[in-house]
Amino acid sequence: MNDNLPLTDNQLCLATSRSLPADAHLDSDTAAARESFLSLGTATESAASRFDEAALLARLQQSCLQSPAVTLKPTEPKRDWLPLVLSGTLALAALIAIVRIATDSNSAEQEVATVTWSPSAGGAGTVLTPAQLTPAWNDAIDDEIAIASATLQQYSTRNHSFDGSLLNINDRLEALSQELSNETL
Amino acid sequence: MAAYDQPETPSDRLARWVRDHAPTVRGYLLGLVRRPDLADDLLQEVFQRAWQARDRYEDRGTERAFLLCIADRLVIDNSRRSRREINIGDATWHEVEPTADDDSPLDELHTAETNQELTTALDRLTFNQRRVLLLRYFSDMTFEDIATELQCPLGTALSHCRRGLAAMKKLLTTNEH
Repeated sequence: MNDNLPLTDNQLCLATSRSLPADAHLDSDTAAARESFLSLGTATESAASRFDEAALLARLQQSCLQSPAVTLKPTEPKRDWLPLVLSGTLALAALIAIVRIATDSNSAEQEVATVTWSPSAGGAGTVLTPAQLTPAWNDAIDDEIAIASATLQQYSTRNHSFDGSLLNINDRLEALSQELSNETL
Repeated sequence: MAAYDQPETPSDRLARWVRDHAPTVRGYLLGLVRRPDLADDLLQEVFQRAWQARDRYEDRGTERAFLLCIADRLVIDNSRRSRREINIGDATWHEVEPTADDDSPLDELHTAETNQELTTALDRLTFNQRRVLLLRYFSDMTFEDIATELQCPLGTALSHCRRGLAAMKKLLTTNEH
């Protein structure tokens, strides 16, 4: 029992075409298959032809053409104000922070950390307090630097005084040497 | 001449679709689902979906093939939803088949004979054999396109066709004897 037709693909195409080319030649198997194919199609067509076409068209016109068109109505923009307020606040805070940073940066550049000292003004043994240094600022590290600088000044002043004492001793020793040499003579 | 220049209105286009293709699409649906009431419901849905996607049908070849492909997918979706093979007996077929009141007895007899032949023929075919043969008959699609629609290899579609035709040939031979 063969459930398959011995037809080539081309024969199958010819057997299942509703309109054949004029020069088409069908062998017996193809013609029989074509007859079966057309009988099925004809029976189906005949059974399906009995329906109310006008009613179908009326239903379709109602559902396809008269259905409410999808229009984009200009509705009121429904805004949620909370995100807007939050983002605005955030932006304002960021702007203030930037301005503050820029301002601080400019003032820091103007206040150059300078320590003025002159030996004549200070004198030997004079201790310079941070308040005497110009300009004064409140930074603790800068205060420490100023104190260290003043201490160095003191040490350098002392060294200078010590050198002066040696020079004086040297002068005195020279004078005594001259006196002694004069007395000997 | 002026009438040819006027663009087709949506209403005219829909009416032309129904006039030119509704019997064919209904035939395909009826051949697959084998219930006239269900076929009519699906027929309306086919045209509604086709109308919604009418701008795309050029990509799919002819209007008829476009409509039949939509019909095929609706039948598949419907059978998956119902999870059962829609296959009713001859008595039920006559119960659900709407008949016009003004049919003459001769018409009714002819209709009954046609339905009987169709029922007998469709009983011989599997679902996929019916799909291939009816798509080929109603749309004249190539077997390559049919295989694409069925989501199967070309050889499988050809095999469905061969086996379906063999079953039909056997039926015709039996009737002759």
